[in-house]
Amino acid sequence: MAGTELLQGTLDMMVLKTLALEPLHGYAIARRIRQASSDVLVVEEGSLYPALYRLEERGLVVAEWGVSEHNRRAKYYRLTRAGRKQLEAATDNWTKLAVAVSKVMQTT
Amino acid sequence: MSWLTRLRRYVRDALRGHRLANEIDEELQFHIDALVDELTARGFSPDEARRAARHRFGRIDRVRDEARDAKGVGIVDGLRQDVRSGVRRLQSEPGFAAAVILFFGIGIGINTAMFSLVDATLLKPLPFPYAERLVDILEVQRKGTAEETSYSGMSRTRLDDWRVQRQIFDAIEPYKKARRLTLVDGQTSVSAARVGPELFPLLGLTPAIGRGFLPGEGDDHDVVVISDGLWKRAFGSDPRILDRRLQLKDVSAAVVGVMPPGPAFPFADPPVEAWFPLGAVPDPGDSPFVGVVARLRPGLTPASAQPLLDEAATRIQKARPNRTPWGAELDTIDPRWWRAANNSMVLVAFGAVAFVLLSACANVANLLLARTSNREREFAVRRALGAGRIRLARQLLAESSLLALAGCAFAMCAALWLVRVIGSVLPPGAVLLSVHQMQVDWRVLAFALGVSLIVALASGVLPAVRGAGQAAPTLLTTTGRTMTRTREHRRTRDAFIAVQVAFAVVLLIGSGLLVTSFVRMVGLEPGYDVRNLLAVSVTLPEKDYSDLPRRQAFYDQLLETVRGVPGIEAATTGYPPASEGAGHLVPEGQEQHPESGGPAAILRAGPDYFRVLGIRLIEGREFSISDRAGGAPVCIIDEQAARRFWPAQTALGQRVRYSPLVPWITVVGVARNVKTSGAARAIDKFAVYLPQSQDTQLWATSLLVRSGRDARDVAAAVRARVRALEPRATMPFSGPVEELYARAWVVPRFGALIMSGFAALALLTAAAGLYAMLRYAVTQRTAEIGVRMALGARPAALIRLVFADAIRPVTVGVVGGLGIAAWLVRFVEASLYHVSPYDPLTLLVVATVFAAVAAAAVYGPVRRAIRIDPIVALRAE
Repeated sequence: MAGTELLQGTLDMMVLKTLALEPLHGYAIARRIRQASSDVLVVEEGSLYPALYRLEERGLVVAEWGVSEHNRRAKYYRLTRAGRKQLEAATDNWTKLAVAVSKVMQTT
Repeated sequence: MSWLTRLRRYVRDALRGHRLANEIDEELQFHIDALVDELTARGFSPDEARRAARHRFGRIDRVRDEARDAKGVGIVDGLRQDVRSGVRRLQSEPGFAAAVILFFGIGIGINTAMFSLVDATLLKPLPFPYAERLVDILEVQRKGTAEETSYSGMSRTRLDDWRVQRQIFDAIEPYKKARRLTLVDGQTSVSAARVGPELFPLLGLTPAIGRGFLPGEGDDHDVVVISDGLWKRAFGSDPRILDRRLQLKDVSAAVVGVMPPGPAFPFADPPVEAWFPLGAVPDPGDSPFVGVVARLRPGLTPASAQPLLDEAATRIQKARPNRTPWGAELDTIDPRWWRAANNSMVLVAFGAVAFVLLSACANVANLLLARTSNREREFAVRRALGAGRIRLARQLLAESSLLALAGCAFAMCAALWLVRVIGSVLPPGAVLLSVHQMQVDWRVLAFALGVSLIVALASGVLPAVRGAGQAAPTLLTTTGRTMTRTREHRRTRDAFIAVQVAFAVVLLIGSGLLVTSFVRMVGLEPGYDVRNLLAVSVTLPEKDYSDLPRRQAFYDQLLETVRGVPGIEAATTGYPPASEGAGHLVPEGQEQHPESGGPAAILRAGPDYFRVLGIRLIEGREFSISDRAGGAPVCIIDEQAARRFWPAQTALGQRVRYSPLVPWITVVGVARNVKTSGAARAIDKFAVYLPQSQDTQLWATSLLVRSGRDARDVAAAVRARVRALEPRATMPFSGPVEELYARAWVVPRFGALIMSGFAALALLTAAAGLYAMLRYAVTQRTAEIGVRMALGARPAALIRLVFADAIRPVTVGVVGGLGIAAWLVRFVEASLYHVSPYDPLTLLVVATVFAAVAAAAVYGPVRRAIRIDPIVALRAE
């Protein structure tokens, strides 16, 4: 679905989740999210990088330069311990929220 | 992240801003490349892939900006950006920028300059190291309860008596008043004084080159110390100055020292530039009295030294009996007598500066507020596009700071330049500026700068931050402005205008009063004929004239000689009415109530005095031969004294005295009032005339000469006659009698000028503010006016519409200003001369001036309103 607007917090959460498995560079994160959501969620570059930098500022991820699969210089992001904790909390909240919303939507 | 880590990163990022920006670019570029690769792999051609990637990526600039913002990239970099865009913005609005900078210049620059002037002449203490311990010793002759007269200056024997009182003074030195000498070239005049050898150490001054005087040099007139100014002027800053001699017309002396630039004691106008040593032995031709400056022992103040002084005085008198009893008091050596008299002047000066500063700040604030409110729409749009609030605020801050800095730079230059100009243009007239050089007062400058900066930044940034914070949709859905914001802004603007107007009114009234007072003082009829009236004061040397008859004979002979000078219509001797001598006049029977009398000028009158001066007698007679030395003392008093003491009867035959130390004197005549002094007083002194023939002192008197031509031409001839008769006679003053009055006018004129300067500034600032506000209002209401005109409104109605905006704040301001002025006027009351603080004429003039300026301010916007083309106006909506 094009045009679905993501809440900023949701994007952050998904980025953290993506990085929970392995360190990735920005492009890879966007691709991973798109693939995992079966092309439903397309992350705009204009939202992705600001989100990444904010996460970095908050100390939830750290970044370092590395070499990509095509031998090019790329910046890789890695989850920190604080990031992992934040991911748990965010997932928890999100689940609660999703359950509550679906309950409301099911009542007639 | 801990705050320490955050701070470290912050600093690191700030310093590495540029590198970080590059890193972001590199990262984004990698992303684009990866995208291109993917698209190519999917089958796009490289070109198409690249185009698609770019397209997908959106406007890379925006992304980059957002990324940078999120990272808080490079303070320095961001700052540079903001500054650049700020400069561009301001360049596109030159009028606005110029106006703000101008008001900075006025508020800070001119204000500071004027305050520096006031500071130098009024506020700063004497610039000597021991200033608070330096005193003059007055001899006070006291009798009874309240009557006393005090004299400055003393004989050398008295000086030695005081020198011994080491428990009071740790140094005491004599000096002689400055005199004007001429250099050998006959043209350049130099003000020179003779001072005791230890005077420089007493004052705490040391010569910059060479030395002061040695103890033995007192009687040696072959040495001189010169000022820095004279060294530059007459010797071209010759580094071998100590080998040179100062060649004057009558005297040549070796230069032994050069004083650094700074105050010159004794204070004189023009300032003293050459010091000769004063010896223990009086020169022939000297009066026996010397001026004295003493330095109190550390720890003593004039108040705490008084008991010691009294004790010492008693002791000295016991050692020298057979003299009239006297006491001693201490006086300041500061020639700025108005400082003691008028402490309220200080408050007035500060008040005026504050008013003008605030007024200018109000204008700056107004301008900035108006501008930011105009840009609200722009902010709303940018917010909708995703710009951060902080980002916007930062940009505004940069713009405001630019303006503020430019304004401050301009203001500082203005202040420095003005101070220099004023310093060189003002006649060092009067001892006003011989005490302090004019300098920019850095405290005031810093204070004004600080205040203005705060005002500029606050009014430039705050409203924008607030406005930018508002939800974007609200602002965009209306036609660009919300009513509530306008009203709020209007109230602020109104308040500013009202305050400015109030300040301007207060200052206008103050200056109006001072100007009127000065004009009255100057315009006051002297009461006698001052045209072409010359006064030459003559003082006899002590040697050869110790005998009173001898002195009388001299002056009689002198008068005869002078009457023979060609061009002279009439001549007499005596004291001109503007003389300094004073006593306290009381009528007989009232001596227990000194307040029944009043201060009086004591004027000796020689033969034909009243006729020569043109002073009319309304009762009784002039002095005549019958009023001889040793005969019954007689006097003539002036009208106001006569009416004050004996309102119901004639004054003739009554008796008065001007001091408890003299016998009662019979009144034989009543003269018209004359102007006795130029000083600002609410009541003029009485005048009491005494016959010169009954003067028991007669060391000095003045020749009063009426010439047919300009008095100056005759002056030289008169002086020549005096010197021919007695070469050792000194003539301290020689010039038109009017000059004697002018000396006392300097301060009131100065005060009036300064105050008017402040008032003009405040008025202009208020007018500018009013103009800007009205213009803005007209612009805002263009549509409304257009509609009204289309509906057939006449110009008169439109004018009323425009005025409505202005009337309220202006009225409030005027009323408020009048109220404040009524309360504040007490501070200038002491300086007013024959002017009531509620003088109706002054108020009328003030009202007219204000109305005229206000009308000029309003004229432009009104014209604009009338000429609005309704069609254009409506379409613009």
